[in-house]
Amino acid sequence: MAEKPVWKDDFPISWVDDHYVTRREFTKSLVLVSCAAFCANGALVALAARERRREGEKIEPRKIGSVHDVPVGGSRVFEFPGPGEPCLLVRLDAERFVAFGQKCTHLGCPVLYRKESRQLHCPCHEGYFKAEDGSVIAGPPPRPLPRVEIERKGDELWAMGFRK
Amino acid sequence: MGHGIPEVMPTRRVRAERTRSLTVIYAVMVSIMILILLQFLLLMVALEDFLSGHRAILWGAMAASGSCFVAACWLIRYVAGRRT
Repeated sequence: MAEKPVWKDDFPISWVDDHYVTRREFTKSLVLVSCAAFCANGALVALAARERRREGEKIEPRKIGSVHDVPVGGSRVFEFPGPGEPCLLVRLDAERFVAFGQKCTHLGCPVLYRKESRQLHCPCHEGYFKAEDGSVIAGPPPRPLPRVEIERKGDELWAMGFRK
Repeated sequence: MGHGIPEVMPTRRVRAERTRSLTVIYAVMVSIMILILLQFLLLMVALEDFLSGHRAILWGAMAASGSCFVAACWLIRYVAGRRT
């Protein structure tokens, strides 16, 4: 009969036994998953509260470019009121500029301007908005796009804030 | 002969006890899984609500998710002390 190696006295647990997960351990780990789901929900609430607080802050007017930067029928993305908050500037005709928040009001996908139909299109779920006022034409978006007040100072375009 | 408890009885009792424990553990396991499914559903709804900018049901979803977590913690006490 083969003699038992000495190291087995120091390490008596085999890998198989070490990796064995009992039903009890598995059930306990399910509670951790439950805790993680709860924490994720809490994180969403915290993010929403932070955004609400930021909405209440005063928005500083900001220069977003020159009249010559956007051709007639063209569009341009700019960040307003701060970095990471994209808005879309659209030149409807020679004198008319409109701007909207670029995040679709459905699930936050970026909307794009379609010159031929004069609509803003969300490619994620086929949402359509009117380029003149940002109102919903078709698709799942529940609300119009937030409109940015644009002011022209000579050749410069300024974003003044969001229209209430 | 004929006096006292037969030899097989303790074994049966142990087996019955083990079966009972297993039933409890499986019942708890399934219940917690259902609660987790419910929590994922709530999380999905809350995420959609957050992304759409409504934020009307976020607190409700968090409260419901918290209740599910508390229920899972309450259920786990049935398993924590058992040896199966």
